[in-house]
Amino acid sequence: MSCEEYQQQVSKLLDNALEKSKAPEVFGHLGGCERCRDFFESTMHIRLAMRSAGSLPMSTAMDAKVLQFAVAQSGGADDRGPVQRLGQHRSLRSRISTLALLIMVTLFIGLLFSVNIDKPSQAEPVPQELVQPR
Amino acid sequence: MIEQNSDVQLIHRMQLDDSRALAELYSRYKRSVYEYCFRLLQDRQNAEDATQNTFIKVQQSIRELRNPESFKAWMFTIARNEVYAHVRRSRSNGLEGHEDVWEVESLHEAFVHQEQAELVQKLLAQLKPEYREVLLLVEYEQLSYADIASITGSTLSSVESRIFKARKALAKKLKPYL
Repeated sequence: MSCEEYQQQVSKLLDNALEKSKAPEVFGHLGGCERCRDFFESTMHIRLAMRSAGSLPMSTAMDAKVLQFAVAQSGGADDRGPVQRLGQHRSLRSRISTLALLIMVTLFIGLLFSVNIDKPSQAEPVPQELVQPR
Repeated sequence: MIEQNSDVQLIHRMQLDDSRALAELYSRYKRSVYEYCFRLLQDRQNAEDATQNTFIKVQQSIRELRNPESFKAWMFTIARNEVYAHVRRSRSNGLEGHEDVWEVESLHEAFVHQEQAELVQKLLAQLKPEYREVLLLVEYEQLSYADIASITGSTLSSVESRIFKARKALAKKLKPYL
């Protein structure tokens, strides 16, 4: 393999795109070839330089446009923002949950009462003085 | 600890018209997309326009995304299309590459006293778009060659070749300064 081909392999190796089985041969060549080592080191310098560059300045003007579009697309015709509309949905959901819980508790209590009514009465005997003579 | 929504979860919510999901995805990716657009267009206003259009189109087309796991590559495909749509509108030259990698030939005078990182950024800005874009995607976004091929509409071997040539060209220019 020529140095050019080895350098192509180095480029792929640095991007995790080289088959693992070929890596030992590439490293072996780098050990003995100054030209290819120079390419490897230059590529690493380039990588470090690119990745250490600070963030580019960015205005917030585009934020409003994108988010307004998002709200319009989701059918939000009102002026409320996405967070406010989400709050409204949460409030409605919790009201529905509370109502469902109340209904269940009411049904449960109703069930309890109906069970008690069906049981034979085991009331205390009426005191004699209250029973009318026959 | 509040668990951050994954991209897949946000995409499913967007497909149900949840505007908050777009807001979250936008917040997560706007910088990456903006810096990609800026480094290709080298103009702040145009990069902002391209970024806005990208996310608007993401929202419009989100139901067409069949594989949410490939969202990032899909989003950068849209961003790339926006960038090149702008380039076509503003330039008469085509984008077809020649064997030469540089747009501008003579750089030496501008770079004598530059820090290395700034130097690399300047050189990067001088690469032809088809070489610059693949290097941006592999170095800044750490995308796979397969994803880059999908985004750029190229073959895998073409992506490999362009990344390698871009690196060789930059290494050659940087050699006196390293």
